Amino acid sequence: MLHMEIKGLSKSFGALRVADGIDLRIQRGEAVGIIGPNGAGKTTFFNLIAGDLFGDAGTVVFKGTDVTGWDARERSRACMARTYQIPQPFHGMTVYENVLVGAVFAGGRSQSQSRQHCEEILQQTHLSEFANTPASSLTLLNRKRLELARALGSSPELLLLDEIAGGLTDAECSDLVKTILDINAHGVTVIWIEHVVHALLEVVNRLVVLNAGSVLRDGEPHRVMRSPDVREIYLGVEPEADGAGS
Amino acid sequence: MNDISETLQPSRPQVDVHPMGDSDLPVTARTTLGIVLACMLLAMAPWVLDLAALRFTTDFLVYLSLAVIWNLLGGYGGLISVGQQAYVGIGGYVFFVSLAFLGLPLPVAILAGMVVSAAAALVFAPLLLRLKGPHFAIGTWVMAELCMLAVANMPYLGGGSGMSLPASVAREIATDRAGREAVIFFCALLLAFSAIAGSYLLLRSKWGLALTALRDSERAAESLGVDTRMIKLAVFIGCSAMAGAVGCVVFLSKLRMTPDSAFSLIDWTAYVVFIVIIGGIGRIEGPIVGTIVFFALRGSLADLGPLYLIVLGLVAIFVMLKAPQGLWGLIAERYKIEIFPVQRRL
Repeated sequence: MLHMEIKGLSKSFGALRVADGIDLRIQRGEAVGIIGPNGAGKTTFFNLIAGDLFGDAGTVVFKGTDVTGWDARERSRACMARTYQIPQPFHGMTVYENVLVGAVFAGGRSQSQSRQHCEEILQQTHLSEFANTPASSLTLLNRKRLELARALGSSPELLLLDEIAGGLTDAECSDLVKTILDINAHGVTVIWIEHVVHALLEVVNRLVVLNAGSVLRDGEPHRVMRSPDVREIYLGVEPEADGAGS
Repeated sequence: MNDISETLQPSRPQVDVHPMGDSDLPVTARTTLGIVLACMLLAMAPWVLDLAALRFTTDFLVYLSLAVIWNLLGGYGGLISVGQQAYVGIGGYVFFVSLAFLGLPLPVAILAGMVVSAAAALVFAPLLLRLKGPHFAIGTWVMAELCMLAVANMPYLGGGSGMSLPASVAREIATDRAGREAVIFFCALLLAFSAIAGSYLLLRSKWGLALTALRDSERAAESLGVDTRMIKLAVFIGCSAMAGAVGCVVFLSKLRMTPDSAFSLIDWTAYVVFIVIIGGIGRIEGPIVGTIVFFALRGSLADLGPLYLIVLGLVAIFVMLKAPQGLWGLIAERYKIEIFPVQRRL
């Protein structure tokens, strides 16, 4: 079943075309990876999907509804959630309260109804023991987990992950991969931008390569990775273990 | 839960220790009892204290109200305003006009002061709320200066020399001076109570959750379904209405006002920011502690003249460097206490 359809999505910053007529059809329950060299427009593409930015042209249809003109808040209430490449925790609040925000406002529950829901999410993301600690005192791994937990708080049907594995150790990374596989197994559509390709390949069943604001390749992950133009543009430009930048 | 987290990370500072209720954050009985007791105790003041002491207590409650309001706006909402004097001044002038020119009864005049202050905030909001951080601060200040200049140029309001409340109006409120002081005191008590109870209830509600979230990251809050513009607007207007009410009470006590005194940056914002900073920004207890310290300093340093302001400044700098969480932050961390628990715990 078609979950999201993106047609001709374009965005320019001045003379720089960061999204150049992107077309993409995402099926419900799919796990789609997005890779591309730095400056390929991956994060901009996410901002356009999530409503943090509005495109100059093109449409975004989500669950059969045209959401092109909707802002981030309206899209979050339509069950779309995202994480940020640079974690943006509510540092003055506890971990539990961070997760509560999405549960209450995007999820439309009351604070008391959200309690058990948040508890489960904290367990799923291995944050239970930090539930009552201020988000400002978390380590990088736990901040990344919190980004994920907070997005899950809103009970999303579509989850947008922006370089959530960047900067983590291999062990931490494989831990995160398990969590994301679990989320996807529960029927949540996942779109994941990632430079840590080996982590990405463990999760996704489809890989999209963005280059200069447009789709270069789209298909079965291993076949896409083997194609010569991807090797040249992506792997040639940048070593695959690099987790920084976008 | 507490045990686990404490054994796992003993070094992490954990301030509050009270587990919260599991329903929709019911107001804890102890805090409610404490507030009621404090109010009852204070309510006896007009019969116990002499006029000077009563005036002092009224003054204390006025600053407490302003500090609690500013803390809600700046400490929880991240809207650092240095223009609260605009709403104190507007409230005061509307109050004087309502009493002296329109002959309205006292409660209606106070309500009018609040409504017009809120309306002014609503007019300024589209301009101010699109500014962030320091730009917002400067914007609010400029707006307050504009209000002062506008009022100073209105002959109807007495221009630069201001207005006085006619003696007949003052007599209508209470026959003698003691009676009037008592009325003013109760108004101030009601204000301080509403400000504290209001912020406490607000912060425990889901809107408090949203307010604190948007302070920390407006973008993330928006992407989690929070209507950040609406909430900022509502808090900004609510706090302005409260500042307007403070203006009414202040000038009911002073009986005369000039544009300079009504829109005084020092009196209605600078001292208030000092109180919140030294008490502890972003905690309800902070303004209470801050107001006590401020009045203690003011009482003991009153003879120093201008030197007094320098001392205040030095105290502020010292506290900001040594205890950025304010004095209440230090106390809360040291003794693990919290009077107004607003944090949700699992």
